Amino acid sequence: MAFAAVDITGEPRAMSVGPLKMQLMKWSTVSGDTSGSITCDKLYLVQHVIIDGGLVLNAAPTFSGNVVTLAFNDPVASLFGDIMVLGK
Amino acid sequence: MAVTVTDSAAQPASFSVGSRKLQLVSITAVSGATSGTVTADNLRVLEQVIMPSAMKFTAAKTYSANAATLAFTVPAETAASRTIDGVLYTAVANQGAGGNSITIRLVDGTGDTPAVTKGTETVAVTSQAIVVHIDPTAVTGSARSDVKAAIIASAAASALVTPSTVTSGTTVAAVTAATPLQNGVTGGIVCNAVCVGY
Repeated sequence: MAFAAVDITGEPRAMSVGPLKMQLMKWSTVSGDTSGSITCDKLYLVQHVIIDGGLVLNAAPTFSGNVVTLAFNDPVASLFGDIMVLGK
Repeated sequence: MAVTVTDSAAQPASFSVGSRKLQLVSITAVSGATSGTVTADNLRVLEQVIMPSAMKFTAAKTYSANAATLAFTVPAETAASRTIDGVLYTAVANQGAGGNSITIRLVDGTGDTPAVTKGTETVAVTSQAIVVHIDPTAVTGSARSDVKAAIIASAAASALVTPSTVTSGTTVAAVTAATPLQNGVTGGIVCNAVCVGY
């Protein structure tokens, strides 16, 4: 699995937003990938993920603890994007 | 400009969130665009632009001060087109589905002042409606190739359509009711985006 999610370089990587907490990350994937997971080390519970870059999700993201699992169409190319994760 | 950025309708469009500042913007990229810059004018430093859309980034975004440079692909448009009385009309670039509202109408101009004869066709354009005044008289009237030439000579019509292939160009053109182009599909992207920085 080549899908990868990494932190942004800016600090802090996570911050409070009202009753929630937000963590900022980046992702990349390569041709042939159809799934991947994002571990949000600054959160203990992930509830919402906003992801850009043309990744076409073919199922709703699933959440377990601080991990989000994505299922998506083969991008048939190397793609990149940004992630905003909301949770606690 | 391949990528345009405008402020969101939300007020305020920028605000603090913890240690960061967010600016809400709308981003547009036209069909065929492959690169562009997003400048967050309410931020001093831009760290991240999150813009869910059909835009696919072919390289990671790069950031310098309050601007992000993007390399990407976006869905290509399909230009609206239609063959009308033997002339193929294609909407000019970046009209997308809006090109389906362009109409071509051929009317009898022999009663005009001065009367239209072969080679003196006139073209009137109102919004997306193109009306060509022709001489539909059998044998001696306006040929289909004359209609094509009249469209090309009209700046207003040429701003909407490009006539190309003509079937039987010497055939006299026929009076034709307003006929819309078809099958245009909008390309590019339009999205709401969040700029994160400080």
